[in-house]
Amino acid sequence: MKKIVLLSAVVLFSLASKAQIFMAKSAEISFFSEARLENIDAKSVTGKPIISVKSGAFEVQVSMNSFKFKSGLMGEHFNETYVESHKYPHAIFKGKIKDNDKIDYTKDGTYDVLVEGNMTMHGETKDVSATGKLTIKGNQILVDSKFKLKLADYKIEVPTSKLANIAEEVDVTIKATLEPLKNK
Amino acid sequence: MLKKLVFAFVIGITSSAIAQEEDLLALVNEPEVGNVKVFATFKTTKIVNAQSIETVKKGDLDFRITHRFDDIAVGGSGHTMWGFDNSMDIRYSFDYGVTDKITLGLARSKYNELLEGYAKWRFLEQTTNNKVPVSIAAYTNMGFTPKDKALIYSGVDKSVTQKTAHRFSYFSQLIIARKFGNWFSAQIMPSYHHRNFVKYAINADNNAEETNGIVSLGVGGRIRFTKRMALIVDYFYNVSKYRQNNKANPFYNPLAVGLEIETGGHVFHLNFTNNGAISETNFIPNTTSNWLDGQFKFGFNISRVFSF
Repeated sequence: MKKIVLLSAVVLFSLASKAQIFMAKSAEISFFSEARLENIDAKSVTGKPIISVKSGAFEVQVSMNSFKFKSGLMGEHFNETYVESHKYPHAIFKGKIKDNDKIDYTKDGTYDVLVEGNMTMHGETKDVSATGKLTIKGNQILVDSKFKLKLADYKIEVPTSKLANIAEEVDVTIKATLEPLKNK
Repeated sequence: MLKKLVFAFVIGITSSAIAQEEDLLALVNEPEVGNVKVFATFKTTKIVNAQSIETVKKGDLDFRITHRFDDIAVGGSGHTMWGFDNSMDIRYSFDYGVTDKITLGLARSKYNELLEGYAKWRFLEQTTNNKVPVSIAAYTNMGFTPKDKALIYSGVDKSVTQKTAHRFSYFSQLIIARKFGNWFSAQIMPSYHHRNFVKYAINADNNAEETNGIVSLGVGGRIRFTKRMALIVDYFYNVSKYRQNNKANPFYNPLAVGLEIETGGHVFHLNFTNNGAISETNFIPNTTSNWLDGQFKFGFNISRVFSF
């Protein structure tokens, strides 16, 4: 009897703690560059943001070569000469939701949040803060955030001849629907 | 027993705590990065003379202008400004990406007034985890020359029936390529060239006759030495007995070296070749100039990709 109680306590505990972690069921990470001659926009659906409810940690990793462009050649140039994805395959953001304790994850509601952390891309790590909306709806967390990145911060060089085609600052958008992580 | 359970309980707590606080990203099952298709083995659809493994991206149109001037280092070449006054061949081509893997093209060359239609199908793609170690493409080309009859049949016996079919020639090859790391790519190209009509000729040194078909093996490579510049090389070895040691009419295998400059959208090639002609149909059977005799030519190629 004791055994069973303890065993179920172990199982329940680990289940409960896993439920503190939410992972994206679907996510869309995109960036947009607006320059004089052309607009570039690319989208990736492979990155899966994760939120730890208890600590307010927000993390996401995305493969550079998962970004899809309108033109295949753009994607090739992006990977080969700009972000050099063979050397730096991922962009990683690790941050914390500010005032996480004020968010009640058990009730439906929408919060304007500030996420502070750092972003690693192209071998460079820089502090980044982003504002966004966090919506709790039933068993799901919806994330919607937009922030700017300076290419120069990550040593992504744009030759002067391409300045009319590529903006020095790009808008990054993250939209995701997160669900509690199930025990594997 | 109880001890063991408590122990398991503690392990359970700590491991879940660790998973929660320190390694969130480890929970993600993102598709394995090692398993993606290798891209940009070569920068454009051609190396110098040879077709490369690359196809045009879906919906894109690659417009290419290629020029070959005349011999640089033969006697008296100073009078033609080292060949720049003459153009051995000029070729315009349009390559369209029907899908990312299938390219269709049309071209026109000055040499033999050649009109070409061609297709390339990249049916196997190298992956970064080496499960597929090479990329393979099939390339086939049909050429038609609208040249004047008198030129086609000059020196040919009058009894030979003249047919439109004589104006056609074909070239097919398999392109097997591999990108080694980020700076070096190489490919080999077993090829077959067929002309429907050839004039009778015999190599007096080995009694071999000219043939309609010529088998050749091409090799090509690209070495990137900066992000946007590369050295490009290709060579075709022709398996043709008629062309071997033909002292009366010497033939040489085409060898090309070039510098590739990529600006994003445009790719420029500055080349040196011993062959004057640009299309396979022309340079495989007709290269009679030799690098070692100074019979190499400057040439350039501009490739501009338009996206629709």
